[in-house]
Amino acid sequence: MSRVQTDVKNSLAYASLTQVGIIVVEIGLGLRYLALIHIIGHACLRTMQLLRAPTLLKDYHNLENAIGSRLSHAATPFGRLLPSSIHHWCYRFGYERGFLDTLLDAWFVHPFVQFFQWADAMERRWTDWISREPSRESDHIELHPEETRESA
Amino acid sequence: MPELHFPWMEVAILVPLLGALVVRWIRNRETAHQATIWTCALAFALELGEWIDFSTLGKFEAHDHWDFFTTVFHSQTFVIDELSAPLLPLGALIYLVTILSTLRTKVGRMSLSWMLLSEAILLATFSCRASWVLVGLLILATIPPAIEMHKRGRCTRVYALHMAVFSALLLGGWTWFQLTQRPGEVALVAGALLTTAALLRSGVAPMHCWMTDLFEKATFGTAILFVTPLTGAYAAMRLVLPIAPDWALQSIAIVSLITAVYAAGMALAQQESRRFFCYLFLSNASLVLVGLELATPIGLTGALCVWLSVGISLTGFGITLRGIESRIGRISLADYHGLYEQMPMLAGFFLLTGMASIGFPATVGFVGMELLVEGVVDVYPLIGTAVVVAAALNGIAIMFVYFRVFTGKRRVSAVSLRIRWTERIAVLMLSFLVLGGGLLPQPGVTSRHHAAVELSKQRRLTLPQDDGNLPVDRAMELKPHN
Repeated sequence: MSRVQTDVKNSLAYASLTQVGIIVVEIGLGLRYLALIHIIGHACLRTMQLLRAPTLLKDYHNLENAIGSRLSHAATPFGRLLPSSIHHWCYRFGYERGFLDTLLDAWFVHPFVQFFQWADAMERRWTDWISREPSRESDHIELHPEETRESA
Repeated sequence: MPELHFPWMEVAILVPLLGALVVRWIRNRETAHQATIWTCALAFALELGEWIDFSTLGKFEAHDHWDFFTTVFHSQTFVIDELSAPLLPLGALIYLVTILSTLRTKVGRMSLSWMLLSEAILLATFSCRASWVLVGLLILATIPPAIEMHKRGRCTRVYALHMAVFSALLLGGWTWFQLTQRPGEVALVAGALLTTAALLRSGVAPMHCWMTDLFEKATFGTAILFVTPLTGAYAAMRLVLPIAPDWALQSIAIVSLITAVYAAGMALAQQESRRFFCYLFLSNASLVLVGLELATPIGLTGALCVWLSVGISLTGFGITLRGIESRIGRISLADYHGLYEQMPMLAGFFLLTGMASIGFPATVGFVGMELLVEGVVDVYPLIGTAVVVAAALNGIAIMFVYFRVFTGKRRVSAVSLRIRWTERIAVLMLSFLVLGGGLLPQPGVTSRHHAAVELSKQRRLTLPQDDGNLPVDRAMELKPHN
């Protein structure tokens, strides 16, 4: 995840998550002092990276401006073993953060909103029926009244 | 019964009553507005004085000095106790900040004399214990909004139908209770009727449609004034809590819990600001009801704290939305309005009061919400977590609306939309309470805890003991006051 992010903050955030996972494993194994040293070391290193990140990016830009092209990135030995289709899939999976937002939208947010919109429609039918007329004035409001309305 | 040092309650009720009469005869709208502001300010000062006076007595309940009603009618109609002591200044404050935040150009939309009359009714309601007078006042309070809707040419059927059922249930329940109640008996039928009435007035689902209809058709100010003092919860505390058995109260708590989650979900699905506010309020009011009906000291303490915090924060939230609406018209939530730069103070206040309503740390709602969650989870370990779900959904809804109203592409208005000085006073008063109550919560929580313990004790004394009997002296004392 960290390697495919397009901005340095996200990249460092995912890198931190990796370390946090390892620290939790250390705690789980009962290696409390190792975990403590790991936490302190990680905090120092990550703080330094976060502080250094803007100037590092500027150094990279200067370097690329000087040579007139992007810096080349050699593939890792493990990466060379994988076919390019898997490369692309992994890249997309990482870039989309495991499709978590899409899954949440499809499986949770959308049904949730749909249910309450249905409940809203039922309430509308109920109040319309009692009123014997359309009961909601809010259906006819302007989208951007601030553009047309004079101030009070 | 201990006596206050001044007839605070009766004078505080009399002031808005006289104010209503005076304002009715003032032709000049600006002068009438000013007179209303000063009347509300005086009523608030009197209620504040009453609360301070009562606090210095250190008793559970007290009545007015030179009590007019006791002298004339030989009945202690107006009594202050630990439950109502902070509610009275809160009610007066809600009226004061609402009229302060009303723009001069919008004064003509709401009747100031009816507003002052409603304030007098509210203050009288909060000064009453369970009695025919309380029942009458609860019914009387439903009339001014109906008159306003009728004057505005809006259909009142939804509101009138619900309030007619509420009045019938209240009258029926109280009459039944008066005719049938014997010491040591649980009032099942009367309790059921009164409970349904209180739930209807509180807007518990599925009996809540009158509230959304009120927000649609009445002026925003009137709707805020009618719902934010939580009169339904007060009716439940006075009329239901002393007579209903535990299982009945806990059933009400579950219904209220469902309403809290449902209303929070509905708030997220709304496309217009008034309806959004209505559901947000409904969710928070239901949470108060959940705690009140748990009938445990910790739950009651949380509910009483949240009652005050919801009253303060959501009144502030409501007047913010009303202030924006007064300037640009009804606010659609279907798109971004980008209003931050034109009204930064209202934006900040919107966020502050919104966060306070969901119990954000360092705001007035934080401790109350924590206590409420603890109280509910103690009684219902599994479904009690729904309180947290409701609070989380409310938080998401508030941020959603904040982004819709204040962020996005800036659309420049022809004239300044900045806050006026009277609104500034209202905002500062409420901000002071929101932050003051959050940073120094101990006095408020201690007072609410003491009230909760006393109310729990009274309830234990009122209801039949394990042997099925009620202490006779207590039963006679708690017999309804006519």
